[in-house]
Amino acid sequence: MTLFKNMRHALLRDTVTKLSMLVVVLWLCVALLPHALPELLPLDIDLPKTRMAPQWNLSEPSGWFGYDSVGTSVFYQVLSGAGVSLSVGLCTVLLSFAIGIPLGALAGSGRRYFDVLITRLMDILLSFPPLVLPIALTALLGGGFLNVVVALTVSGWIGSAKLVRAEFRALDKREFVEAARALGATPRRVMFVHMLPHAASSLLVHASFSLAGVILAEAGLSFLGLGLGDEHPSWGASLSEARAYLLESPHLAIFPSLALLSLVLALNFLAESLRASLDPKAGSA
Amino acid sequence: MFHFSWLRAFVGRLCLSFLLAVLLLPHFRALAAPSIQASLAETLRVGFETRPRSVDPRFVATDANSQYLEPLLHLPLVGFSESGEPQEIVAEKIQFTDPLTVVVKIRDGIRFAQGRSIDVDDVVATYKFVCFGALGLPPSPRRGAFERVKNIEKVSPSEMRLVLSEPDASLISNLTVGILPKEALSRKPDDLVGLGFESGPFLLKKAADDEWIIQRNGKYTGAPFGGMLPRVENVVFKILTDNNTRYAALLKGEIDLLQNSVDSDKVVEFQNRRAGEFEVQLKTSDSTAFLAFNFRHKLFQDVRVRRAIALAMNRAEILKFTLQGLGQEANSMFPPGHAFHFENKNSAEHNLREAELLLDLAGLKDSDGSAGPQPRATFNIKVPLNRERIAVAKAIAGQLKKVGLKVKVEVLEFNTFMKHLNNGNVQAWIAPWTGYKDGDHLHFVFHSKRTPPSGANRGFYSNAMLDELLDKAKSEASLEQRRRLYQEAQAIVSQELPYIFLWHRVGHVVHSRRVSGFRIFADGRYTSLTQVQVR
Amino acid sequence: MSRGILAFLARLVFVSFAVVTVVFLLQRLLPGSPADAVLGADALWSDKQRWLAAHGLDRPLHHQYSSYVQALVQGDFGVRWIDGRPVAPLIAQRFLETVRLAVCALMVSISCALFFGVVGALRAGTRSDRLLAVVSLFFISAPTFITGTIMLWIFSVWLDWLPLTGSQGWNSLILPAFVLGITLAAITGRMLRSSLIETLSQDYIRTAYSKGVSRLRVVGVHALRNALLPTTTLLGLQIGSLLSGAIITEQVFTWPGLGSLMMEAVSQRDYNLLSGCVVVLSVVQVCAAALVDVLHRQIDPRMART
Repeated sequence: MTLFKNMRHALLRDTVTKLSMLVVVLWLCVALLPHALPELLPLDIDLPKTRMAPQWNLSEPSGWFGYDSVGTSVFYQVLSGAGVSLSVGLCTVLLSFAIGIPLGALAGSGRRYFDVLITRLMDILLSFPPLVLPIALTALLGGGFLNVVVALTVSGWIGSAKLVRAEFRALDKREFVEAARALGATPRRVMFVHMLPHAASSLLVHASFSLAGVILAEAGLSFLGLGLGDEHPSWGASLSEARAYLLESPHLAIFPSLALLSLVLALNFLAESLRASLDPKAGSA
Repeated sequence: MFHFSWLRAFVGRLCLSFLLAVLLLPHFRALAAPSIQASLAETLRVGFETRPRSVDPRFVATDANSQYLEPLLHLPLVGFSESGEPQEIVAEKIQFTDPLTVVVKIRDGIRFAQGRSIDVDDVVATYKFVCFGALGLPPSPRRGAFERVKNIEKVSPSEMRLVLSEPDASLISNLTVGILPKEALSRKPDDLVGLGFESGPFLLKKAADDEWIIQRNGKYTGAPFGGMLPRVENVVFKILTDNNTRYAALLKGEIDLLQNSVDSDKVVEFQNRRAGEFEVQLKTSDSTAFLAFNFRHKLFQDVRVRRAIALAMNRAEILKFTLQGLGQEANSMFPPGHAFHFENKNSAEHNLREAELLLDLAGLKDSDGSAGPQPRATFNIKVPLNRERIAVAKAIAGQLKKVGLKVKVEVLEFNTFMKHLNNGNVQAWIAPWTGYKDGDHLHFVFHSKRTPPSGANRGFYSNAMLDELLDKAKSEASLEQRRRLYQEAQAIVSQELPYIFLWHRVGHVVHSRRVSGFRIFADGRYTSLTQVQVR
Repeated sequence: MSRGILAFLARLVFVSFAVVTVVFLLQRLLPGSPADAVLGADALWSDKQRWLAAHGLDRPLHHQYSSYVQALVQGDFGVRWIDGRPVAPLIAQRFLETVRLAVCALMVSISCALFFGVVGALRAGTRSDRLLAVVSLFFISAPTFITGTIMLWIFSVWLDWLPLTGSQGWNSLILPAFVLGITLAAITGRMLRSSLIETLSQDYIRTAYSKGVSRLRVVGVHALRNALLPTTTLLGLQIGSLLSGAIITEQVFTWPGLGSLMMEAVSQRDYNLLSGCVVVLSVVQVCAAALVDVLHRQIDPRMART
């Protein structure tokens, strides 16, 4: 419970953090929009409007951000891109945690055999420079949502695994763990009920940072031509297309960049202030 | 306890080693690859989208840039006139003595840069290598064009003979292999630089990953058959893979000329707003974009559906907005002016009403009207990752939505796209054909025996009548007869619509006003580089 | 010391071997036959088979693997399929370019990080600190292909200060090195700032001040040295980011380095070239991490003794 109290304290501490929180929540709502009310985001193709500049006409929101190279509204494109970018990010982070936490726990559980095995595996994966393995994998599997998520997860789980492993090793000799063991708790119970909550705060910080990282990585993959390849582009895909019209139609680049920037910035700010207040070792910000 | 000195020493050492590394590295590089010194006025700088894979005539593959450079370096037996008809270069005369035998007479007096004349032995050796390979060297990727060649032999000091296993009228248009001296053929692939094996107007000077340089062949003897003696000393091809960078490099004057490698909207921009510094040349090119259907998919087996799709599309609109007008509506495979062009009188004009009627007839009723969310049918179009093609596919999807057809656009990385195509794992797709010369191309694309992996009939289209016509045309020697047969074949294609032809691209050249003398050709060749002058 | 070197070598061999195996397995599963990419998808089936046979790609997987590893041990990366040129010198040449870029980027990164970190820590909580935080978080959050393209237009085309393409002169290095370095600088700078703040609140710093040591000396010598410790660890981790960031930066600036070679290999399905690139990149990453470890020991006398 203290975690949540700390968290609330951390999240409502200063204006920047509050603002970041607001931005993240806002984008999450927008991301859910197409699932709840698909008719709210008309992504119609209308060629005569190709690359039309923004028009600030209040009654017609589709024209606010201008139109892209097939005459689709950039405003709606950005809104629907939130769903795409965030779902790639969230799925990757969740999948990474689902793999990383158990493996990290196993490695930190004190059994040498598992520890050596998992650490070696992490060593191998860590010796690929970060984007290299996802590039090779998306080239192997082809683009597409699932493949991009899998490719980014393959090296993404290591962060959480390392965190959990370190935390568990540090907690192993603490009194309350010894006490739980003495009271006859099974090793699994000790790990997941008694030890894991202690790693939760740093995992939360890690999740926030890595969500930002994954969204950027997906943008990078899209730029290299190895992205989702979906009909409805993520922000990264919109941006890599907009690069070609930077001079003539800057609105194509400006709005998706602002969206991407706002979310990634907010996530990074959030992570920093979470870290500052949840983890007293990290120094004050 | 702490001393200032360690930090100073540490930072000092760090900086020094960095500085040294940075200062020395360029020199290492300079040692490794001496660059050619030439004054700017004698050098033309051309931007290339991709590195030519190989200009070694034995191993020139399908990439366009290699094929453009090859005839500038190594003269072939035949080249092509502007309308795409074969034209003798090293060959003086080519003749079918019977349907299975071709006799080629070699022109006298064309020399390799090393000084020796091209003789029959060189030609025979080159073609033998391409057709039958050589021990210890990889097979030639060109072999496919000479499938039916059974034997190659010298018959007199100036004549050679090619013997075929089956009649093949398209053979002459395939005799484009650059001739190498016979002693060059045992060399390793691409190991031909600086040895004087060239017979064309240029010599290859440098073939690196970031630039290729060709230099005037001062001893050129091929004129007037293979172009004139070049006026510029060097042509540098800069390999700039990024669209944005190529465009910026041309604007900034780091390159002088770009052919077919800026986006259409940039071409229009050069034409309208920068006409003072840049000249733009346009010409309808030998390139035909199409929407193709997989006949294994039930929806497309009904010709009414295919026709309805053709009617529902508004190609003029896409041409205007997506391609900035740089295309000419196509109604058949070969563009007007091409030797095998077919004037399609049956072409589908944009007509939504008729399209809806046809779809109703085909049993695809629209229960809630064309504005309602329920589609008549759903299918997907696959496209490779290419900005323009994605835009075109999306535009088509938008247009088909108006008649109640729901189209999902699926974008694939290029190799994956090809794999899906060749496995038949596709419903409809958009692609262009480029670089075709002969009517035989139709055989490759529509004949029912040419399904992958032995051809490009990737939609598994099959029509017995068409097969017969195409087979006949392949074995026919007379050009007149072949033209007639291909007209008939294309009439069937225009009725059956295995492809909906979209447009012939308008090719473009953008060059700075410093450059004069460059001319654009329909097939995108660079032969006019010999005429170019740089101020 | 020699035991440390031995352990490092053993680790290097193990990791390289594992990397080679992973890369080998990955590539044999890539969609699209390499023959399609080399001969063109329209080539004849029989030709494609012949080509595969000529490169030994029709043999069972374990045969291919053993001969590949054998060749690799002898420093033979095979030939680039599209033109038959040996891969090893190609990689060497491109690698040099990437090193040149990476070293300059590292210089940018270190100097900017020092600036961000020291100023941010000394002025913690003030307006300039917040400005620096926003600037560095901007560079962390913006995709490099966008910042890179914008800078390219501003400095190369619009202002015409720097060349746009090529890798000849030193001035063509400035933009890519800056773009590549600044992202790392932002991350490292944030890290340095927080560890400097922590160090500055320690007792010995207060002692130093009370002894009358100048502020410059306290910060520059006493505090920075300790604050650099966690930062160098981070720097070691960032060598990897530097290498993978180079892939995108090289694409944006058409820099003929290893990253663009790798993307070329991906698009041409050239197994030999791709394996070569990935193996070299990974080995560099492992070596760099070891190097940073050594550096770490140099700065921290406690570590040297253990």
